[in-house]
Amino acid sequence: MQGFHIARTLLAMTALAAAAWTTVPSALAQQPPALAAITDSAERARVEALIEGAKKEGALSWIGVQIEPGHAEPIIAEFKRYYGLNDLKGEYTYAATGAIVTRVEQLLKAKRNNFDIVWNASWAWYKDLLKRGEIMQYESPHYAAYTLSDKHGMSQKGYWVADAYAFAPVYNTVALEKHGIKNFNPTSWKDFVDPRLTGQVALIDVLISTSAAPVLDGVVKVMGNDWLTALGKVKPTLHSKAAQGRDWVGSGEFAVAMFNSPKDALSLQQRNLPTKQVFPKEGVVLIPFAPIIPKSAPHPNTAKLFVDFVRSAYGTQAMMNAGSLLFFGRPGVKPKYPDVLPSSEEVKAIPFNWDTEATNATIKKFRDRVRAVGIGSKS
Amino acid sequence: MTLAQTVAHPLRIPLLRGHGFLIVAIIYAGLAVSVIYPLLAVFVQAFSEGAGLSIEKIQEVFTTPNIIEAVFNTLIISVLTVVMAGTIGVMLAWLVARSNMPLKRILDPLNMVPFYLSSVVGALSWQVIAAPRAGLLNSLFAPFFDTPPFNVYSVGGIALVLGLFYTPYVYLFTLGSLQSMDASLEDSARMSGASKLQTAIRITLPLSAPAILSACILVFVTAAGIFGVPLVLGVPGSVHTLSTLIYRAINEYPADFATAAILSSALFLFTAIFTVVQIMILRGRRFTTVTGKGYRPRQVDLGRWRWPAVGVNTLYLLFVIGPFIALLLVSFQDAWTGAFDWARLTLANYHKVIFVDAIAKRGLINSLFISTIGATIAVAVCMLLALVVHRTRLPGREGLSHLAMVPVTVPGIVLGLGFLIALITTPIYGTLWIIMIAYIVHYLPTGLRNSESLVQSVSRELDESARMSGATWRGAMWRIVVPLVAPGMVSMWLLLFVTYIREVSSSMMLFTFGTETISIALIQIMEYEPYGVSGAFGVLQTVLVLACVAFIRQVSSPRQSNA
Repeated sequence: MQGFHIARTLLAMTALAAAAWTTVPSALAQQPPALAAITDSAERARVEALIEGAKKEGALSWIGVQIEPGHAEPIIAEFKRYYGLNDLKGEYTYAATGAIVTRVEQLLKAKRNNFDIVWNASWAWYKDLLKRGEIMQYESPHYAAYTLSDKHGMSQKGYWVADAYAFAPVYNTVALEKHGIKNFNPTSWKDFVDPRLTGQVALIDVLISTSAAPVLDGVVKVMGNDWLTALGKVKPTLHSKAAQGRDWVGSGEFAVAMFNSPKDALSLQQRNLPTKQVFPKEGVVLIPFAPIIPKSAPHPNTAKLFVDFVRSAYGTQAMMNAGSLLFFGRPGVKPKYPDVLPSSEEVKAIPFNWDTEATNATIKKFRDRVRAVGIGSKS
Repeated sequence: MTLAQTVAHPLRIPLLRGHGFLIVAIIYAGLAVSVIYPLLAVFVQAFSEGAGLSIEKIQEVFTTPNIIEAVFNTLIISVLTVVMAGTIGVMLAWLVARSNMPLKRILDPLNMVPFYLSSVVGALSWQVIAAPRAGLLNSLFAPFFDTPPFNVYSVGGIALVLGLFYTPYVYLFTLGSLQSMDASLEDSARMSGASKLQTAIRITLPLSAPAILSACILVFVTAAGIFGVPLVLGVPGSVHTLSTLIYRAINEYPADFATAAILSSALFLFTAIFTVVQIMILRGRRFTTVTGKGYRPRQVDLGRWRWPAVGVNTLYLLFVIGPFIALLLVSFQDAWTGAFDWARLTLANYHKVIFVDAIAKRGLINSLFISTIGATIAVAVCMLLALVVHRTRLPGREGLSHLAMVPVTVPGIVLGLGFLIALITTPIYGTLWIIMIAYIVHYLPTGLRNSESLVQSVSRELDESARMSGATWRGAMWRIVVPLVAPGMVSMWLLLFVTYIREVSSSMMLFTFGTETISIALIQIMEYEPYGVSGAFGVLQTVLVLACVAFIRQVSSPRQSNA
């Protein structure tokens, strides 16, 4: 009798376990990971509403620089999984900084904007958009964790917080040796104006680029005007885009590319080219790189969710893992390639006020100084 | 009215009777909107900043050192391009048309190959072989020179690439002239004791002068306004031209439309002046090269120079095709270090272009759409215009032809800017249609000239006979003229299709995200991808265009022979 009771109890427990096995996971599966991570009921309700809205909208259109198409794809896939937006159509357009500004401006003028997220590195343009009321106000709860962005003056309350990328020198050891420069172990910006490098240096065209000019200006502030004069003496060849500098230093066309991002340095390393990047001891200028939502975004709920995602701890790490080599504006993101990219906490930033030091007037003035030392003139 | 009188007034057809003026007015209006309005938009923008006339702005623009330098660069590049394309084109045409050079049947179509290739891909290819340090040629010659002997990032480099790619224009014009020339003039010279060379220089070439001059001015005007090659080869070496500065003015922040419009107006005037000069020169001179005698021009015996002549022609082809082979090699390398490395062999670049980079696929599809539909519309429009001009007596019809020729003086980038300024707030902006219309307008003169030649080649007697037999004007055109010129229309379609596929200048101003063409996609890919990926896309683009040309020629050839 007791044996029968035990057997019956075991049977009941097995049935219960089986029921639990089939029902609980399906219930869990219905809940997107993003909601599972939220404990606060108000926040949960807010996110649920955005998810519902995003499901109705069904699409996300994102344009950006720095994050290459191959890296954006897994970010969008992870975003969809995280919020359970399996049917969402995510589209990413990669373009250069200037091209984004030009084309988006034209779309805004034509009242034909079709982007939900604009992710660019053009501080002055963002400020103009803000002034003109073209940016949607949105304060993601994750913005609070962006303390590094705040510290470096890269945040705009209620509109954006920023990650950053930086330009630092990349050099080709084989090309240097070909030109008789052996054991080149630079640690300072000073090492890159060595007269032996004359004719071997490529520099992004600071006379055109709106992001590179402030960067050089920042370095000159730290290194002094003599350094700029010395740079003029090594007769750098100007190139219009970072990729050109990367390919030039990779192929040995030039031994040094003065301003390239860690993304470029990694790309060269991954192709087994004899190149190295150095972050000079004096520091680098952090270029703010922030996602914004245009006021005319066609899918505002999806855009807000996406901003939540890419500003969350989970999302930033997903971005890093996908290959976005950025200095994230929030602490705690583990670099995927620590030998190429120092952590956001470790990198030495040259103090730079983007509001006052990167205006059209200051850039124009600085460019005159650059021309005065012979940079940009053919010789 | 007699039957003869009806034939003498081909316009008097039921559909058009009484509406002739209206029809011409509608065509004029259409041309004015598509040709004149964008140009006016540029001028208005150039001369007005804010509320009033801005002479100060114009002065400021033309006293800026880099703009002055760009004007000179544009002039020098255009002149060098003409000199190069003219010299090679005339020489090759003479060798093919008037000499007994061996392998002519093979070399003649090959000489036209550069016409089908994108000069942007050509520039990319030349980067591979003549970049100052890592270029293949410079690597090869490095042991013999202290400094690299070749620098493609220069005025000379740009002119070299343009010269090579515009040689077919001069070649084609001159070839036609030489092949239809009356040989008796040369015979007279020879009989009077002139050597072969003297005859060629003193008789043959002067007789072909109108054709050569025409081609040279076309090349000059095109080179002055070209954008893709200076962008790829000029910008890295800080060699700016007017076209690259126009592009830069639009693409800097804040966009400087006033400077872009002023530079565009200057570029337009620059090219317009040369076109007017061309017209004046050709008007003032009369050359009779075709006398109606039905014999082929005599072939000059090159003697022991026969095979060296083949060598010269082959060298030209090598200069065009060689860099493409180098680009092909680069496209199979995971990184380019100045020499082919078997250890770096990869297909990853092609995988990326075909499967990863969405812009590549988009560019390809968009270009095929624009080129296929655009060329079809253009052929229809041009044929209709040609029929109206040459097969009706509508009032003011000659003016239509002149108006439609205006875009020949307008560089693509200027036309693109005009369309941008004029249509940015209309629903057409941001669509493929705006690019397609810009292409149609830009190459309207090419299409119209071809259509006029085709229509004029059909004797009026044929359609007049049909009219006498009771056919309507429309019926006579549709059943008699159009079938007779159909093979020519297919060739014209192909010409426009290839031209649209390669086009970059106007679309560079008009594309937006999602409406990139294949050439824009290539330029965009070059913004971030390594040489290998850009090379792979360039190779695919070239193969695609050549395959399309071969396919269409194959498909149309039986019809041509039937016709």
